Amino acid sequence: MPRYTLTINNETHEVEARADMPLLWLLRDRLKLTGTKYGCGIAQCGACTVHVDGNAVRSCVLPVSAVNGKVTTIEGLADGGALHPLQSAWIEEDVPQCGYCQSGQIMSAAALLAKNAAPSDDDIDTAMAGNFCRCGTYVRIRKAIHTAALAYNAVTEKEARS
Amino acid sequence: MSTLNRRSLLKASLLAGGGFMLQYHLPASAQNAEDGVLVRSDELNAWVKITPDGQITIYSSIPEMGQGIMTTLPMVIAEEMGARWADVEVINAPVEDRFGLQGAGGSRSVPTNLEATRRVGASAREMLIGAAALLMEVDREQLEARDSEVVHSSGERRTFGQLARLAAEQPVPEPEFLTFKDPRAYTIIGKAITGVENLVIATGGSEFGIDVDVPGMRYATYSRCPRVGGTAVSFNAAEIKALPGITDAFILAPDDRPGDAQMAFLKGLPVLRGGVAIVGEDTWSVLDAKAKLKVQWDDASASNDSWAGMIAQAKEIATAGGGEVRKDSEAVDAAFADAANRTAEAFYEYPFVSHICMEPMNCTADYRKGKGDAPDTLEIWLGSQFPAQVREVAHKLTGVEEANVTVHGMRMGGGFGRRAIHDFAAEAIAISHRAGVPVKLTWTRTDDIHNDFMRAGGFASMKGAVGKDGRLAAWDQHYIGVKHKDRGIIGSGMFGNEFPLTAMDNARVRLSMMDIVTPCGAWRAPGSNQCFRGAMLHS
Ligand code: FES
Ligand code: FES
Repeated sequence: MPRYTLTINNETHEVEARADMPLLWLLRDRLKLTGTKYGCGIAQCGACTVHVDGNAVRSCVLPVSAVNGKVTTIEGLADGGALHPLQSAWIEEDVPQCGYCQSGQIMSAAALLAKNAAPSDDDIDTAMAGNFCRCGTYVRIRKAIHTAALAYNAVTEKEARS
Repeated sequence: MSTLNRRSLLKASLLAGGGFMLQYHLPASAQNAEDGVLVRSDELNAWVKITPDGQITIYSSIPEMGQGIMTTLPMVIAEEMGARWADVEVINAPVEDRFGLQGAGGSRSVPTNLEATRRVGASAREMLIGAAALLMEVDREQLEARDSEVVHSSGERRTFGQLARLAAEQPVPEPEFLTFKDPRAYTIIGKAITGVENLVIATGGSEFGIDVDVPGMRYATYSRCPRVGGTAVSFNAAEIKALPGITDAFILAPDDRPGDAQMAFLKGLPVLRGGVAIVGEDTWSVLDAKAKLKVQWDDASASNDSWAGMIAQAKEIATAGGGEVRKDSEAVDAAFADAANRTAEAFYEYPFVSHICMEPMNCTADYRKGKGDAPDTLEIWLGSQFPAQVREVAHKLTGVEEANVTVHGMRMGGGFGRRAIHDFAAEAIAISHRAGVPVKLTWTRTDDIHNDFMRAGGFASMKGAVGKDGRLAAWDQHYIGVKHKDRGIIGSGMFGNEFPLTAMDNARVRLSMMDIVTPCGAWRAPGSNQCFRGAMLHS
């Protein structure tokens, strides 16, 4: 089996895997990073969303052999001990119901905020359109993204000044 | 496993045998400390534990599927106890008889459990007050529990942590003597309290059934005959077993023994369907092999249901008239015959729908053959709305005694009635039993949609007459639903007394039922999924 060197959540992993194995199953079954969820396996629901070099990708259809970049999963989104502003907003706005889709939702939202720090409702709806929530938490998701955007900008400004 | 739920299970097993219990279905007096049940020094009852540092642990014993019950009922307990919410940690309770009926369905988790839950909290409060009365040497009437303290009218106070040990030794109050807090004094109920698992969810640490990992575990997939009731005759076994990462593949015969279990309306459903199991080293290997699977099915006696066939049959029934009369007012025909009335006619179809929980069905089962004289055991992890019932399914399939079946109820990625039925558990159990290793069976989304216990579809042939005054002059409805040969299907049918039929003084309602084989079950808001009445009123 081919070997791959992957950087996941800032850690280097040497893995042996079939070239066609989607990143999703490598994360879940081999590396036991189960925060990334399986919902459909065909890039339709968004539950498996992770970042590769900051871009939101569907890990269920991304073969291990095609990963070229740093992978971030929901487990690696918090910066050390500090939650990502989206994670805090998700808790505060009480976004989750069953919670199953929320890793993917947060990862998609984080990729959005990294590029557009003050998204409009339309920007949010467009960026989040590929993330399905069976419990229907969409209204709170949007609210939490706005809440996080405020906090996110405050942090970014502080960083810029320092 | 490293997350919250797993830790809680370990903790809970350390406490096994501890504590008197306030069970839902037994009088508390049957189990108090004087009956010889050991009380652990930090447990006030099965649901509440307080350690000397003031940490309050509340067990959540009703399955969580997004309805928020893991937050709601502990709030009720904390409120009645006089606890401060910030001091409370909520932990998913193990599936054990001492917690009473651990089930969730029909949107009834709160109404069903509210009174008993208040008693759990009130009982803990009285025991804490009893301990404080002893320590302070005062009358208990002068004491009040609030903010995780018991406070005397003089201002003297003890924290719950200071009282914990002595409180656990206090007599268990008789439930009928418990009083409840005045709602005006509530500090927790009525406040916007956020979900207790929000943090673990937002950081990817929550553990659903699909995330379970057991040492030595293999991964499995199962392919059932596309037509319900068919069996697998043979498959390309040599080719499948030679694929990378595949460790085993075999046919399972259908088994309807577990179908005897469960609640009346689900009777007969959790059967093991005939099919082919593939076991391997990771999910991807088995999914890839499943795609290459070629099965020869025997579907001679399998279901012939088709949606097109049902529509055709329903239209025939509607045209023929007839049906069982459920309501018939005298002037219906006259109103339709009256040329002054405008009439409208329509034939409505509503489809069969799958629940499509966000987390596809899955179950992990670990069957162990007993060594020597030791009995066989089974350990099962799954998201279920009625996890304790899986013991019976397991027993009927494998013969393992129910007492030797341990079930872990995990947080569910949606339930909606689908996870009240344990066909997927039967599959995982049968695969582990046959393969002799712990297996996690994960359904693909396709499996999940095809093999649902669907909200039954149905039909209605409707006629309405509207008078010159714009009011409904007559209503004639022929509902054509579906049933299984020997029993009805939840949500399919019509009594004639449904709103707004009750408000109509000139209406006829008839009912015809067609036999089908397609498995059906409860959908969210069972029975209320017939939107055509509203649609007809609009037209
Ligand atoms: S699991 Fe990848 S998009 Fe659904
Ligand atoms: S919270 Fe349940 S699917 Fe989104």
